[in-house]
Amino acid sequence: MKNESESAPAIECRNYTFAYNQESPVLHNVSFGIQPGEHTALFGLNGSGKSTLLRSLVGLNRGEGEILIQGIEVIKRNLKAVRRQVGYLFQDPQVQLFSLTVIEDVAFGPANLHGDEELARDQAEQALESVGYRGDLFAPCHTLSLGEMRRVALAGLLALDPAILLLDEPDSFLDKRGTGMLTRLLQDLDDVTLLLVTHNREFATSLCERALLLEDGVLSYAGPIDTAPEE
Amino acid sequence: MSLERSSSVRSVTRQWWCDRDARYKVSFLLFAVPGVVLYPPDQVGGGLYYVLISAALAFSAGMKFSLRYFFPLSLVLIIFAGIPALTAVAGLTDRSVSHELVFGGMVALKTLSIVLFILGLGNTLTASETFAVLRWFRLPAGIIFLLLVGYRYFQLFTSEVRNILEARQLRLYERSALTGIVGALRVLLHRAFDHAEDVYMAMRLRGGESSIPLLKPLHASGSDPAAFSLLLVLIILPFLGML
Repeated sequence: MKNESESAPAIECRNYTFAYNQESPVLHNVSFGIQPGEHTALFGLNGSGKSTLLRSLVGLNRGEGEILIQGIEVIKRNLKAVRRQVGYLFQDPQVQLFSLTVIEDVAFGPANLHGDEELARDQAEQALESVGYRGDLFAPCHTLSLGEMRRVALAGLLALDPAILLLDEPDSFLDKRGTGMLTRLLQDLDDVTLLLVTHNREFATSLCERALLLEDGVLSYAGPIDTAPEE
Repeated sequence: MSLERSSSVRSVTRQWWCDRDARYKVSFLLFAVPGVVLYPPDQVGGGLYYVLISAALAFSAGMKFSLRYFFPLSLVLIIFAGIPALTAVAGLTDRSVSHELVFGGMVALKTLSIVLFILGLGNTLTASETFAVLRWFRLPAGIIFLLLVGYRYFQLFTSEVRNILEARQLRLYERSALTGIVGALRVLLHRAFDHAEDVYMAMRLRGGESSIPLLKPLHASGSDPAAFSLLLVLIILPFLGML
């Protein structure tokens, strides 16, 4: 599943511009590159275009310019190949969960990938254990607390063993223990490329070595996280 | 918005006409009035009647909007007109192909017109006006209640559908969008209903008053969504038969 090639950046954005309508462009000529295995934080005030950028990286939005994931251009005919490489965590965990039960939801991705229901279920259980989910495997997803939904949503991505993780505010709705667990979990993913949206500097610094800063849709900083300016 | 019957038909009608823009008034006079002249709908002129009424509303709603639905609605026309003709060609009926074409064509025009009518209506009347009209025509309060609830939560529902489809596609789901929605229907109904109830409770907590009861304390079991879906089908089925 993971691309062994080290030559191409894992995520590359070239002069990417996106607007929901002509009057209000959201992203302006955004260009950056993230190397395989690199952990990068994406900072920016609310409404600066962070989530829009993440959505563009997985092909949910299509603007002008180029986006490449593991050297594959993110266009309609390549979306299947792109999405095999990328796990995307929505900002709102309720949006991410669509199955009737927890185990069904987490096993959804692996079942689509290889078709083996039993194997998918095993992978789902392992993923749930890794994110510290201790609830009922057959609980309806919509009855979980937001923190539990966040863990289950993350498990659904990890069960697919992606090469790249795009996490949109993964620390929101988590208590202190949950944030600690998440930090340890992500720190162990050495060979996974990580792009993390967060407002929590401490959380970002413990995980990432680089940072990007979006201000009103413009990438104003790309460099070491230690010297990243405040939002 | 009041659901009570208007006290003066004349004042309501006058207000309705005054509120319409010039394009609507022109289309109404050019298409709808001649359409009425071609009544009754049981004869050949009936098909034209429905077309003209609907053209009036579709035109007033805007050509761009109408054209968006042109191809799928043309498909409806071809299916309804073509199937009876094919049965004649295959010798499954005693009637001639030309007769079946005309019959199917009239049914298709009637179907098309009713659909355009509904689409046009949706774009030329506000929600309040639409429901007031339905109440004025003595539509059962229960039906209006369902329509009100449906209208209030329709945006929420379509938003949930879109979210589910996106989330599925991102986790390598490759079957059709329709299969995806059907597969997620139970969860969709649960989520949309729960979310809608939360929104409505928030409105009530901020002073909104309504006689519509909250159903939050009720807990849906596994068979409830299936029963609800069956109820929806039973409500819609008679309308399909009338076409």
